[in-house]
Amino acid sequence: MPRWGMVIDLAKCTACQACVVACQTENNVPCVPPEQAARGRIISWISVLPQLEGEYPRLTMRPTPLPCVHCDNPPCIRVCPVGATGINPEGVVRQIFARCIGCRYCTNACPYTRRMFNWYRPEFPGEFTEALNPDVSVRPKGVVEKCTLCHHRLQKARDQARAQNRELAEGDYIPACVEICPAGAMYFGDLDDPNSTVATLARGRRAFRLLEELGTKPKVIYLAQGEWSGGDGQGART
Amino acid sequence: MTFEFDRRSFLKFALGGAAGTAASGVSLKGLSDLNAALANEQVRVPTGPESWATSVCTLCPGGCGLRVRLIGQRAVKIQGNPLHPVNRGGLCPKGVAGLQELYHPDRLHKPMRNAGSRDNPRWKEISWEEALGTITGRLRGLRDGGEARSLVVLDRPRSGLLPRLQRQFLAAYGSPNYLVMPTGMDAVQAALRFQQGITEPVAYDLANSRYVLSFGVNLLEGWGAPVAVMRAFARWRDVASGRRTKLVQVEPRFSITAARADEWVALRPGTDAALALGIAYALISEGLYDADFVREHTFGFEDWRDAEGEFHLGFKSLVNSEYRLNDVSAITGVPADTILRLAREAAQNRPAVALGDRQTSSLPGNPYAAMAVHSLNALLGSIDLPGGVLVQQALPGSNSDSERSPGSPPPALVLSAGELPQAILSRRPYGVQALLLNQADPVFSMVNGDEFRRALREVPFVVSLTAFLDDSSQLADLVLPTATALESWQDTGPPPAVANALLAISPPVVRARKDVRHPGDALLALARSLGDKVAAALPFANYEAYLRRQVDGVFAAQAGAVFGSNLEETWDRLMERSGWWAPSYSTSEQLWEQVKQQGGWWEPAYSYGEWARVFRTSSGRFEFYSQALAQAARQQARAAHTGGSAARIDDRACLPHQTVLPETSSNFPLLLLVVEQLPLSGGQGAHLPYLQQIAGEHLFASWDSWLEIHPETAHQFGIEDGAMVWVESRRGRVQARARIYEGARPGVVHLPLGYGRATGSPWACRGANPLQIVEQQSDPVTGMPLNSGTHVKVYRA
Repeated sequence: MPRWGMVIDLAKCTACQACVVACQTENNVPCVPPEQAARGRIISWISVLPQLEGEYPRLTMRPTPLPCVHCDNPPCIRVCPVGATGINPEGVVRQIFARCIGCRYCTNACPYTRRMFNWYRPEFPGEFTEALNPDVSVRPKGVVEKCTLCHHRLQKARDQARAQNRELAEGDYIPACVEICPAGAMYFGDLDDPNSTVATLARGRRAFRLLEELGTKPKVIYLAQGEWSGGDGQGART
Repeated sequence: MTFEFDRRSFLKFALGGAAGTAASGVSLKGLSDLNAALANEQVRVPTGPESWATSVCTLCPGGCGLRVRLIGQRAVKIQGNPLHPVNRGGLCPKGVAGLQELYHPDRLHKPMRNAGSRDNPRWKEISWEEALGTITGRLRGLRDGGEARSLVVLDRPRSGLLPRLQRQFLAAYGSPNYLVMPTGMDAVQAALRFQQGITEPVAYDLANSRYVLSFGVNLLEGWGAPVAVMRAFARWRDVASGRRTKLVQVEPRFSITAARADEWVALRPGTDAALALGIAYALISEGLYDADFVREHTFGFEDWRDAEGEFHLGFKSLVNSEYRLNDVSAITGVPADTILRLAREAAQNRPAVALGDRQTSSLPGNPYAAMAVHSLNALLGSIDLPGGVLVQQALPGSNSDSERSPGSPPPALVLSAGELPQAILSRRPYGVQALLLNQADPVFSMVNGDEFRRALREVPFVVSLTAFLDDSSQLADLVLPTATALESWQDTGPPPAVANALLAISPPVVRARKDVRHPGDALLALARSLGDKVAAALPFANYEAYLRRQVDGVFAAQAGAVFGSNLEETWDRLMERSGWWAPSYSTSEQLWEQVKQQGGWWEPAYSYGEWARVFRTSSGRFEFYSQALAQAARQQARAAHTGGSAARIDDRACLPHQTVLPETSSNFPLLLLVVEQLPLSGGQGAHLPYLQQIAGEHLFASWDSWLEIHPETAHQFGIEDGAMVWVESRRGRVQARARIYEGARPGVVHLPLGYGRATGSPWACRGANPLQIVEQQSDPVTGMPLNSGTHVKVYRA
């Protein structure tokens, strides 16, 4: 059984946020009105965090695309009083929107702040409803939502593979954010398959996980951006 | 003891067991039904069979290839076309958000006539027939009255065949006045004209560069073809390739590009030319420059004497005398050892390329600074070689004759869009009787927008082609609604900064949602009804037929290939380099079908080192000392001295140099630099909520414009983070929310471009338009734009 994971190469990320918008269009995430946005109520299952440090002119910014990191040991599911969230055998931390009672324990428990609450009825002004993806439900007011790793795409890929009488192959199932990345900075696949791209990259020297010390065991792995190491032709020091 | 809540124990705890659950009447099943019902009531998600179609993005000049997911007749997702060589399956956020443009609630439904006045417009919906009839009547009247030349078309920057169609239309009609809104490349383009004698678009072979020196170019914030640049950036950092290309960003502000660069060099605003010449000094004094290239292919490096024996200053003497490291360091604020190190690194990591000078799409750059930067490319031998500066290949089949008026065409009204309002207001060299705005909004997006506002009032007949009402169409007599990318035939050519000839063509993906047309269709209908020479020159039933005919020209060129996979690209290139051409088509009809299927045709190979093609100066070389500028200066001097006394021209006016910066005044102690960001690149996109939400990411400042200010400067002027402030220049003032940003240089403030429309979608009308207060200084000697910022003061609102 696969264990789905993502690798994000911070050296290649251009902070363009195509992943953010691709996720929103794929998963029927509504745009909140400006007044609500000002109160921090924008819903984006994946965000690019700027991470600015230092003082002029010695500054660093490490823009980091952050989806739900799909912990193997997720703090969010332990606090849910109604079993609306859980981790499935393939390692996906999922949210059953219809079961959520909106208590927001999970949004507080998530150290990565990757759970978003629907404060209002989802609104799709004008004809924006026409653009909705029929594979994904629209979440009502009062529930918490989060990244599903585009689980509907997995179901579809499985169906397709079954119809063609073959196993699911690498690349059959890719979340919308990974697919759109113009710099090819995101990778997705089975972490338990030692030959998969993600597993290979996750073993590399540049690999690290966010807030690893909490014991959450995230399955989103970052590759440190490294630095230019001079004109010796040896390439990036990692 | 640890107490773990799981669903069952919670229910037991809260409801007292299974009986309680049943008694309450709200089982979990019931709850989910309730939620499902709620969701259904709020939003109905339409369904239907799934299909995919190919298209192109038109939200910026980049023109990425699209794959559109359709559910029934509705487009529900935009992804990248993996076969398109510009984006290879990736897309920027703008392209993805294009879906919101298609379904936008504020789109125009039908053509509209202004039944009120220019100052107080009252829009009345009319039919296309009536609208086109009105325009035909007006244009016929002008032509019959011998005033054909007084028709002006102002287009937005775009690639593809629509510019050709507009030129052909105007040529047949009898007007030379086809103008395009400025782009972020104008200064570099000027440098190419002066130093290489080239008017074709400049291109860069970024993917193959090993060292990139960017002088404030917003590489990752919408410059050129954004996705092509991002792909090059990823390639620079591809560990598997074994070496990393260094990106050095020279810029006063810590932009996203600066943040993602390998090194950020913060310099004093407006001193890019000095820094570039300082690096040139280091390259020359250390003997690091490409001496062979300079000897074989350049002019004006050493001091020289002209035909009359007169002595002229060479580039080497200029930098040796005026741009020594300590001098440059004093001007730019960059340490001398940094300048020296940059020069050494660039020389040791070739191909190295220098890009710049900084400019935004709405503000012209300084051509002298661009010449200084481009001179580095000559010193590094990076012109028309892999990894260097190239010249865009022309699209085959361009027949320039049909784009010119027969016989002796009337003189053009002006040379650039920026000069148009002056010409309209002064009626010199002649008046403008009719103006056609083709998806261009100069009132909002030009620095002299207020001048345009006045000028538009003076033009008797103004037509605006646009999908949304905007600040300029508000002053029009007729507004014609245009189709969005997915609703009509679309085509794009090679995008800015990309070298390869390319033609992407795609059929409509969805039926038009409104009574809208593609500008090409509107223009061709107009040509038909105008009759006579115009109809004869453009005998096409619609834009599709026009595109079909242009593909004949591509077929006739006997080169290039239909879009294919990466592998095919490599193969095609290899074949072509070894003199083979094995096309997948044998007739023009086949090519047309394949182009529609795969997304387009392109020329995968670029022939490097074609000196005769890329150096078309009078010397046939790259000119450090621009003889074109010298000639222009002589002509000017002659005109001034009526009689043609050989007025001596200043050699410096023909050489790259640091222009004198305007002095600060105590009334306006801060410097305002306008910045661009990717979501609203080119100042476009504020009407799309998805883009508004991701704008201002580094400050979490979505949905509104902001004023970036350094913490010390903010403290000095008593401004707190989040306070509303006035930003005032000699020209006027605008309001914005102050945001303290460590990345702003002390004493310099920044406003983002693209906010503050007066008309149109309410989403686009948020925030302030910095162009309203920006001052356009020009060099007192040459009249060239300076682009060195605007002096402002900032105070609490």
